[in-house]
Amino acid sequence: MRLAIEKKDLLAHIQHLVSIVPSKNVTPILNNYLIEVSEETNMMRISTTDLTLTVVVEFPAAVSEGGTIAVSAHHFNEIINYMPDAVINLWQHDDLLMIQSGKVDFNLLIADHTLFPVIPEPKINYPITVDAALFNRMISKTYFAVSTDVNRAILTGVCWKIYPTYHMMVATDGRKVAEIKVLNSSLLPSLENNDNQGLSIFTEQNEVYVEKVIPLKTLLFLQKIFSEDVKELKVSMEHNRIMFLYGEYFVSSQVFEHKYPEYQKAFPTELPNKFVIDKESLITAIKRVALIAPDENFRIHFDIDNDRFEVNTTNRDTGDAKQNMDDYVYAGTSTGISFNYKYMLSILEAIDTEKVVIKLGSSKDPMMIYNENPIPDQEITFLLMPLRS
Amino acid sequence: MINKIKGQEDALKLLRKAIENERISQAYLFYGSDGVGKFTTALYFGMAVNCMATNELKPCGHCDSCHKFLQLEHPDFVYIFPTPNLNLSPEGEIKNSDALKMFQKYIENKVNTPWADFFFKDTIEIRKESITMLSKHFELSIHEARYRIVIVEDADMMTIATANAFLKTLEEPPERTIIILITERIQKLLPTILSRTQPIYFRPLTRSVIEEILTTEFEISAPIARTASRISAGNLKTAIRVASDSVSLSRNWAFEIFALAATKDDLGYLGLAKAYKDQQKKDQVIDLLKYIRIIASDLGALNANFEAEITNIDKIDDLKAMVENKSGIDDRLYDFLLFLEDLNRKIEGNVNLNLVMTNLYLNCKHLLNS
Amino acid sequence: MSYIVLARKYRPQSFKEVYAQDHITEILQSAISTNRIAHAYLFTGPRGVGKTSLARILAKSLNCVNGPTITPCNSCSNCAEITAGTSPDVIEIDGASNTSVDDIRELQHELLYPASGSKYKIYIIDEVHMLSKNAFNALLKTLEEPPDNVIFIFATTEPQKVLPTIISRCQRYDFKRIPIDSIVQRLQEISLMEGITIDTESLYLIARKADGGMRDALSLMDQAISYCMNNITIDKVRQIFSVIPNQIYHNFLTLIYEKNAQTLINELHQIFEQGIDLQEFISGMQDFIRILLLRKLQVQIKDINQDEQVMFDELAKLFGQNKLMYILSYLIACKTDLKTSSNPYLILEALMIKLCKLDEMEDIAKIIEKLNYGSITQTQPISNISSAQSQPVQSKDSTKESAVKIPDAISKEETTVVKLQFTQDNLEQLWQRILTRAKKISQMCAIALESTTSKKAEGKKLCLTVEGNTFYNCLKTNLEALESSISELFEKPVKISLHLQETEPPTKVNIQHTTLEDIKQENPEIDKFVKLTDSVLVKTL
Repeated sequence: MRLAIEKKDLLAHIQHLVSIVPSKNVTPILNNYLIEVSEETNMMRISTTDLTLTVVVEFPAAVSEGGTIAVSAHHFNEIINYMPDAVINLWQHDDLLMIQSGKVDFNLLIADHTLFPVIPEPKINYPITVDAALFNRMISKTYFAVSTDVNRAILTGVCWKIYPTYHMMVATDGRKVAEIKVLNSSLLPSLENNDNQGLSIFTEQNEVYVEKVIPLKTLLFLQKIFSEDVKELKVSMEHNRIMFLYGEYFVSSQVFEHKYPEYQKAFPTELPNKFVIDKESLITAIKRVALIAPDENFRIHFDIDNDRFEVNTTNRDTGDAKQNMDDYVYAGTSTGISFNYKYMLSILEAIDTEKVVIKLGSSKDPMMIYNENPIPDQEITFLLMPLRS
Repeated sequence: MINKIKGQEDALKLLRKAIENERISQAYLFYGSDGVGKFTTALYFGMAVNCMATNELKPCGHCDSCHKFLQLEHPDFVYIFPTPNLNLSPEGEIKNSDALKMFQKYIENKVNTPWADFFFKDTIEIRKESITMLSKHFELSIHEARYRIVIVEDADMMTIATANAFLKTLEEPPERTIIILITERIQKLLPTILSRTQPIYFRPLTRSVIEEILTTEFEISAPIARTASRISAGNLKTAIRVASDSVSLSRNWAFEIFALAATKDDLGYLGLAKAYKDQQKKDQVIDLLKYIRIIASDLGALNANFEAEITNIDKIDDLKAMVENKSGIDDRLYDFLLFLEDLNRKIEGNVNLNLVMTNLYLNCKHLLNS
Repeated sequence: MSYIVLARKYRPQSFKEVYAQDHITEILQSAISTNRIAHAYLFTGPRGVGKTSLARILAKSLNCVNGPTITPCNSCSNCAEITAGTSPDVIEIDGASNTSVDDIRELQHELLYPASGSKYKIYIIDEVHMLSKNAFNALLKTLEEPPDNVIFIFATTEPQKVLPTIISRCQRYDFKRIPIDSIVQRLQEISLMEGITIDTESLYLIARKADGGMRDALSLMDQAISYCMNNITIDKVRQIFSVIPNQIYHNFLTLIYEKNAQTLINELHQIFEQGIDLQEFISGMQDFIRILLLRKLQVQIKDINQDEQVMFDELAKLFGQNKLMYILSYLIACKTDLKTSSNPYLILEALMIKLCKLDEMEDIAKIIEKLNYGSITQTQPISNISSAQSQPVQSKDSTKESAVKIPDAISKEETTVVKLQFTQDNLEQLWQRILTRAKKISQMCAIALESTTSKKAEGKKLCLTVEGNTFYNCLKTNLEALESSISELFEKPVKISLHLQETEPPTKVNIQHTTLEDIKQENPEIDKFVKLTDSVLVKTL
């Protein structure tokens, strides 16, 4: 193979890529990029995979001779990074990749590219098209609620469900739930056309929907590559993977194969009490009181009725703290509840409106947290489980 | 390709039937002594169920899938074996570059010269981190293979903690996954591990099979192949090693000891001990014992008039001279062999080698002369 | 869809599918019906008897949408999530992978959250014995005052490794090994469901090999199915599990009986060539001899059929009980030796030769008895064993009387005292005994006797030539005692005539002791000392 490309072009294409490449893996081929260049199309294609997530980026280059090689990704990135700002010439010589620009020469050993894992063709059949900015928003409203418990792998991913009239993302670790629903009736019909594509379509109570539990890593990578310039994200699904086409990137990710648990069971049917308060002042109060909250469970307590709203904490080792809140609106009976303040803060950060609505029942009931005013065509719900007293 | 595996017809038949009948189990236990083809069979079995060849005997050995397996780099292949502490991360990364280098050396050896054992410098075992890595791997679905293959070599080297941590995964691996445990010492495995696997026994290679492999694949002359096959106790690895030591120092040494013991030439022995002082090293002495064993059993056989059973045919005259006018060697042989086993253990336990050698000589003398 | 192993496919999903543990399932069911649910359960027992399965069933019974019930529906979302292991309220923890205090802290943190959407929050901790001591201690407090509606179910194969303070806070249920008949029954049901024909003998063979574990049985059954598909027969099953046919052991024992070492070794080599696992071979042989022994004692044995019984009985007749015991003890010792041996083949070969050379062992009591009577026969078997090979050489020049070859079967009559003629040969034969007797008179006397330079039987006289005055005098003083003592061994009384051999006075004062032999000849005591201590000449002055 032989090609020439401007340094800054090449660097722009590979800068996000390297973050996925495993380093010092026991399967050494995974530490490499698979580089394919084609004379006919004048395109350079770089693929990388850690087996969970596969990313292919394809872009134009001046190719004078086609070919395929595998080369250490970390070295390649660093070399390109330190090359002078000029055109870089790349060609293969025996088992070396020659990288030359001006007076700088690198000879990089190449690996056996036939050992590289099979990379799916970066083609998307029967895609679902979603707005990338909206997709990005759905990720940021949910990703913080995923579990870190390796014993229940499925909860470490974010579940994306598509129904005929809306689609939604949800994440939960059993202690908190973050859910966002977006009305859109145009996604699913295009899916029904190609049932034979191996889609896992669940049917429940005559409802047809698609469910994919996507690893957090994949979504965070997507967030990284999202930009203003490209609006459309094309998505396609197979039995055990989900594929995204975004600009020059092709992202293929494994999904968790189990069915996502029925987290809605935790949603209480009716909560008698409700208060509305300024989000920022609540955050400040919680952070302040939390200064001496116990380390082992981050417990903070709300005591609330019509006249008094107290945020407090007690720590056997250090002491206690409390702040009385002003400017809140309360409807309901006197109640109190304990919770993990870190979880509460992560939820409050995801609230869009200036004021936050919190519904609560007894000290044993979960809290439901909402935006003050619903956003058109969207429904955002957060749940926080209380701590037992 | 599968025909390269010799002397394991029963095991291969069981596996072939499992493939034919589409009843491939999720977990197998290949057990049997070292150097009889367990790993090779496991690897070929994994290759066969994934081979992409259409009209060939599977595995073909050259399709993309087979190629990746043979290099031990298939993305759906997990290979676990006893190692020193490598600080393996759950994602399968070894951060320490020395450790990584060592790991790669091991793999390189396994790919290129599988019959030669690779020795790590430190004590080795299968650590819990390997199982954690495996569980992490199992969260993913299969990348490109038909079946994901896991080989756990020397499974008896799992620590108690490792073995227990493995139980859940072993009992309920994800679908289309085949876990193959390999062990030489099945009695050392936890019953809870055994009960989760289908055991498949690998026979020791018969002497004729070893002789055949040595002469055909390694081009070794017939007499040496014969001695090597006897010494090896069904272990091809040993046989190859023995046969490739062309002029065997240990063998000559052993014969000299017996010659002196036969004539009770104690002073002569002192001279011999002096002459071999430099060779008197742990590994060398253990090697020597292997030959002592074979010669002793030859002497016993000669004494009982089973001339056909002699291994060291080329030295038959020497042997005959030694047993001349001697009696009861065959009776004492059993105890003598046990004594050698004991001596072996003592050497492993770093007993003073001078004492070992003197003891060995005196016992040789006792074997030959009541 | 890949094939699911039987042990997973037929994992019990309800109380009634848990086999042969009625003593536990009944109590649990009645506890659920009467709503007396404990905070913590401990399930113990060997592998593959249903501990984890029962833990999951219990979790479903309690958390099923219809629950608590003794018949969980297995279809509601709670049950389905428990089966899939995704339920947020039933947390299955692998005790072996989460052994540290931190893991327990994490668990305690989790305990702060009430169940979401189910009645109970249930923790199933499998392989609980692997928890570290600190982890156990951390758990103790939680177990003592568990939060409402939290239930712990521990499962372990090794209860002795669980802290007693933990055990005392749990309801403990000991699972039993599953009896062979129950395994067979279950295997039969499953073969029906799978549409497989299998003969009873195979079922029993699998069940026996499973050794009380249902999962073991199902794994073995899997193997049989994968090999035979829908028609499992005993022949194929034997082949799969490399069961060594009894006929082979029969041959071996017959050859041992016939002392046909040559053929025995040939047979053994054939076994080696077939590559049979030597451990299995020895175990099989032990079992075989066990049956022989039992048959000898007329014990009825279930494991064998009529034909085999006849075969065993006939073979048993050939061997004495002691000999069988003796062979058995050798096999047991050999089995451990094989484990550590680097060349087990040689050990086994040597053992077989040894077994061939075994003479009919006699009762220790009998031997002692004979010793007391001082019969010649007691020396015979020993020399027979130790010098079997050299026997022909000896017998050439021995007279008829002395070459009393004791036949293999020793008749009882021979245990009575047999007195021999006083001949030179018999004298040589009994010399050792004479020395022993002399020792009883005095140690010195024995040494003197031993150091006589010649001993001859001349008529009724025993002519002894003695070297040195010390020995001569010693014998002289003990002459009468010696005569009577020696006479007891022979038909007629023996007289001793002593001759003193004059030693030449040393010509040189400094004798050059060059070799050990020289020294030995020079000084019999040193010879004796050398013999006793196995000394080696290092240096002469």
